[in-house]
Amino acid sequence: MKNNRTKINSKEAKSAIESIKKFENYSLQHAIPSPWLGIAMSIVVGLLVFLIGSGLRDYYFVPIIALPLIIAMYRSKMKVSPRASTSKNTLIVLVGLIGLMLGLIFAGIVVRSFYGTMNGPIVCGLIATFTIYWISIFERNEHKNKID
Amino acid sequence: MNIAQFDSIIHAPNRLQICSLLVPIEDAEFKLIRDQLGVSDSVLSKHVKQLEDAGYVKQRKEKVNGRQRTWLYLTEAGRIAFERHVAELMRIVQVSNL
Repeated sequence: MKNNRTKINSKEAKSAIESIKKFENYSLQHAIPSPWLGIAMSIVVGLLVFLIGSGLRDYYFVPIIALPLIIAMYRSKMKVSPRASTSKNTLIVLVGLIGLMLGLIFAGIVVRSFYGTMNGPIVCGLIATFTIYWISIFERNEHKNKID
Repeated sequence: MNIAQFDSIIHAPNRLQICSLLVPIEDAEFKLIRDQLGVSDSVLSKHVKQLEDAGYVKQRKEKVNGRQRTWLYLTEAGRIAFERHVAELMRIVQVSNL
């Protein structure tokens, strides 16, 4: 059954706008990424950087299996999907991030090869962890700022 | 260019709330929308059907952990119609403030 009203008064319009804001905010609230996702992803990525940098091939499978599992678990619990940003800046950040991770892995390998110490891969893994964690915090704050 | 245009399909309270929930996100689970609106499955389905018939909303179903989940999302036409409707509401409020 269609509602054919096309004229409403300003009071009704105001009430509708308030309702819209309220429900938009509710949605945005649900779209805020969980802090645990950020923590889990940063640990797994840091571990991956460390393992590759240190050449511990026997344990590569741990982060490789953990990453999709974490994403799948998170996805199964989520009731809302945030809008994916396709802006140029996002792509630049993504490419930069991949470049940074590769650079850290390479740095870890070089330090281990030249000095025979695990300190290099450990430090590179920690840098990767904190970088991903910081990005997750930034992402959460970006979502929170959208809420009135 | 955003033309302000009242949309009677969207303006019905429950349908306005559905669109408001969907507009800032990619999609949302049927149950979440139902719980937020405080209506039954059948009432929500009725409103979703009307929005689907207008081409504003679509559904997709997926199986997660063996359970069927239904997700709703606004189509491009739905987003445009909603934006125009909101623009018209704002225009009505602004005119009354003059």
